[in-house]
This record gives sequence, C-alpha cells and structure tokens, in this order.
Amino acid sequence: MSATSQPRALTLAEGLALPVLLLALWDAGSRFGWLDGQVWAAPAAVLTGGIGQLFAPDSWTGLGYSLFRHALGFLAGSLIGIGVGFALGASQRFGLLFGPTLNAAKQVAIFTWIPLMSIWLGTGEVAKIAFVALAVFFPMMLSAAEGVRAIDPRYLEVARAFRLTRWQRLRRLTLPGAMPALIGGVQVALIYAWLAVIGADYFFEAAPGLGSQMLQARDQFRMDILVFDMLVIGLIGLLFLRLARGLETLVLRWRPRAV
Amino acid sequence: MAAIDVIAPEVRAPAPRRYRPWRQLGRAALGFAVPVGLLGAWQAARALNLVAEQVLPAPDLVWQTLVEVTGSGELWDNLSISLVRVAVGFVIGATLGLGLGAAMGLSGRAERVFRPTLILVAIIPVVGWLPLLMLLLGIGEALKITIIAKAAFTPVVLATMNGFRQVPPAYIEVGRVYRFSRWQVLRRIMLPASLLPVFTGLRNGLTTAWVTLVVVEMLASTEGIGYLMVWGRQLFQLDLMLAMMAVIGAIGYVMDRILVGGEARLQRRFGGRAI
Repeated sequence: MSATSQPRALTLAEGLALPVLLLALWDAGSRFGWLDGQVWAAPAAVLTGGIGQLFAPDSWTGLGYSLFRHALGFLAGSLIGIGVGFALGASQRFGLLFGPTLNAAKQVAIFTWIPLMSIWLGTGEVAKIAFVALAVFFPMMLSAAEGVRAIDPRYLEVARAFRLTRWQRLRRLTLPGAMPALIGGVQVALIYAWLAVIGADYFFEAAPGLGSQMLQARDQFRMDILVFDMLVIGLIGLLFLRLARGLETLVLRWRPRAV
Repeated sequence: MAAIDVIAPEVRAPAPRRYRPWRQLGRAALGFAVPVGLLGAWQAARALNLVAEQVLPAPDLVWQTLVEVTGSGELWDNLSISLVRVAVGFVIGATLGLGLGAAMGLSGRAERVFRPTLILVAIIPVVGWLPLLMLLLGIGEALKITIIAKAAFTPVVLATMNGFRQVPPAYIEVGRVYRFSRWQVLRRIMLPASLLPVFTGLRNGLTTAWVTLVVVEMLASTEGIGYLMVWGRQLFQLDLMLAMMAVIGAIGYVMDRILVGGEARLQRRFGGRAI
C-alpha cells in the first residue's frame, strides 16, 4: 500500500529500528550488569558463538537426526491418516462408526499422549517417530476425509458407469479429486511434525537431535547454541511452508486457476 | 469442464426426508458403539489378565481414581493452578496481540516497524522458545506465564492485523465522508467489520495456550494438571495418568466447543467469513 510511496531504504530502516534498539538494550544490559551475566551472554558473544556453530559438525548432525525422524514420522502418519480419512469420507458406515471416536481423540492435545506412549513404546527412536506420526495423522485424516466428501457426486456416477475397479477409482478419481484438500493437510502436517520432532526430544530419552541439543545447551548456559538452534528451527519451518506451496503449484497444475 | 457439465444428467435431488427421530438415534448409537466396544474389550482384557496392570489399568480403576482425586480435592488444587496460569498468560498474550495487531492493521508505519521483529518471533514455535526461556527465567511461574502468553500472542496478533486489513476500503471512505475521528473509525467501522477474524484468532490463541500449558507443566513444574499426569507416569500409577489425560482432553474439548459456538453465533450476527 503506502510502502510504495516511500524509498525502500526508509522502509528497511524502519524495519531494522526495533531489532537494533533491542540489541543495543541487550548489549548495554550485559555491559552494565543489569542482566544476570551468568545466564545472559553478551550479544557479541552470542553472534561469534553462533557463527562458530555454523562450522561445528555436531550442530548439523543433530539437525540431520531431527529431519530423519521428521521424514519417517511424516511418511507413516500421512499414509495411515490418508487411508483412514478416505474411508471416513467414502463410506458412510465407517464414518458413523469411527467418526465420533476419532474426532474426540483429535481433541486431546498431542503432547498429552506422550506419557502413555512412553509406556507402550519405550522412550527410544520408535516412540519418537510414532509421536511424530501421531501428530501428522490427525490433520491428514481430516483433510483426506474432507477431500473425498468434496468430490462431485457426478464423477462418482461416471466412475460407476465405466465400471472402474476399486483401484482404478482410487487412482483416477479419489486421489486427484481429494488432492487440493490433501495439499492443505500436508502444509499443516509438515509444521505439526516439526513441532513434534523437537518436543519429542524433551520428553523421551536424550539422543542426537535439535531438542536434546537445546536442553544440553541450557544446562551448559550456552545461549549462543540456543539462539542458533532457534533460528535453525524457524528457518526449517519456513522451508516446509515453502515446500508445501511449491507442491501445491506442482501437483495442482491441471486445475483451472479460478476456484 | 463445461462440456461435462452440459452433458451430465441432472443429479436428482434426494426426496425431502421425513423427520425420523429413530434414524437419528440409530446414527448416534452407531457412533457410541466403537468407544463402548473399546471400553468393554479393555475391561475384559484386564479381567482375563491379558495385559499387565502396569501397562493398562482397567477402566473401572481409572474411573475410581478419578473420583478419588476429585473427592480429595487433589484434582481441583492442581487444576485451579493450571487454569490460573492459562488465564493470566492468555490475557497478557491476547491483550498484547490485539493492541499490536490493531496498530499494525491501522498504520502502515507501525506495520513496517514491527513486521520483521514479529516474523522472527512468530516463526520460532513455542517448543523452540522453551529451552532459552528456561535458561533466562528459570522454571518458576514467570516461565509458564511468558511461554503461554507467547503462545496466545502469535495467532491473535496475526489474525487482528489481517482482520483489520480485510475491512473493505469503501467502509473507511464512508467514515471519511462522515468526518469520523480516528477513534470513531476504530470503534464504529474497524472493530465491527473485523470482529469475526479477530475472534477466530482469539480462539486459536486459547487452544494453543492450553496445549502449551500442558507441555510446560510436563517439562518444568511441580504442580498443575500436566504435572499430575507426568507424576502418575513416574510412579507407575497409570490409573492416575489416564484419568488426567481424560481431564485434559475433556477441558480442551469443552473450551473449543464453546468458542466454536460463539464463532458461529458471531457469523450469523455479523456475516462475513473467518480466516
């Protein structure tokens, strides 16, 4: 809007004013001892420490482990979620039977499942990946069910007229028909899974990963590692959003623009 | 597409259904069949000793424990602490979110000044903030209130800003024609026109606040409903743990239902769409 009516440099300066002010306050605080020096590192120390983290192999292996759990959990959770969601959307009987139970289970905050999962699945990798899969399951189930319900019933009649087999119907009609809703689900699920990956490290046993790395950094009063990892978490989250949007344009090319 | 539309036969509209209460009741009963069946199987598995007490205590034991902790006041003591934490954190976060979101929605300059900082705060999720805040604030009450406030703040500020943005400029023009003051524009035009998206933001904020409360109480607390659940886990009192899971789930569910109901009423009253 009004951003066009003024030079870009000014816009940039306005955007930077607040971060610079906060940094200056932080710097002054640690210089003059307003902030507890034991927990608050000086901004310069956090910056140099963070740059050091860029070249430390440990910080990247942790990320690697976290991304690996994310990928496995996402895959498992979305496969099961899409399967159940299609059944919910396509079969009225299945929907009536299991819909209320699944909807009630969805309401339980995801982290509430952790104590129970730790008893049934232990506290190792299996439990962590299962937790991520659970976080992915609910949004994928919802979007799959919604996607199937949104398919025009006339297409179903066409499929019946052509006597498509179950498999053909899934491949030719259900999947492409539900795709717009599924992509929306993927976007939510990617982020949920990312939160679950980090949170799982806090509650299950310590193993290489971003969450464990951060808890360890907290115990060692390493604010530089904490800030660096937080930025990594934020950037990866943004990356997932981009990824989902890219997927949307790629997969939905066939669809006419106007909705 | 169009060609298909032309040749496709008209889909017959379903004949107007007679009101059949029995059918409705039957449908509801079908939905109850699964949980009842699960409960029955669970109870039977315990009765036949198919699963160990330490893996899955019987439902009647869970129920008994729930009644016990309710009667002894233990549940209410912890629950009230949790509810106060959520309420205080939510009020702080939502107030800040409403104020900043409104400022950013109304003024281009405020938006340009706060946007980069806000993005930085918003893209790092609550679980990312937790360890740093634990380092800086310790694990006392300040940590819990701050993290819950942050959780509530993010959806509220974004929804308020976008809600103000989507008010049609024509409405504001009308205000200008009537020579409304800034305050009048806010009070008479912006607030009613953005009520629904803002309410949706508040609902998301409260839901996130509740989830965050459970996380932070599980991680760093010695009282509260989340703590009670983890405590049950540590003592292998799974009946207590399951009872607390049920309480947490039920409260989250009721909270969400009430707010969704409120949203639907607002929608009927003011129209427009949620974002």
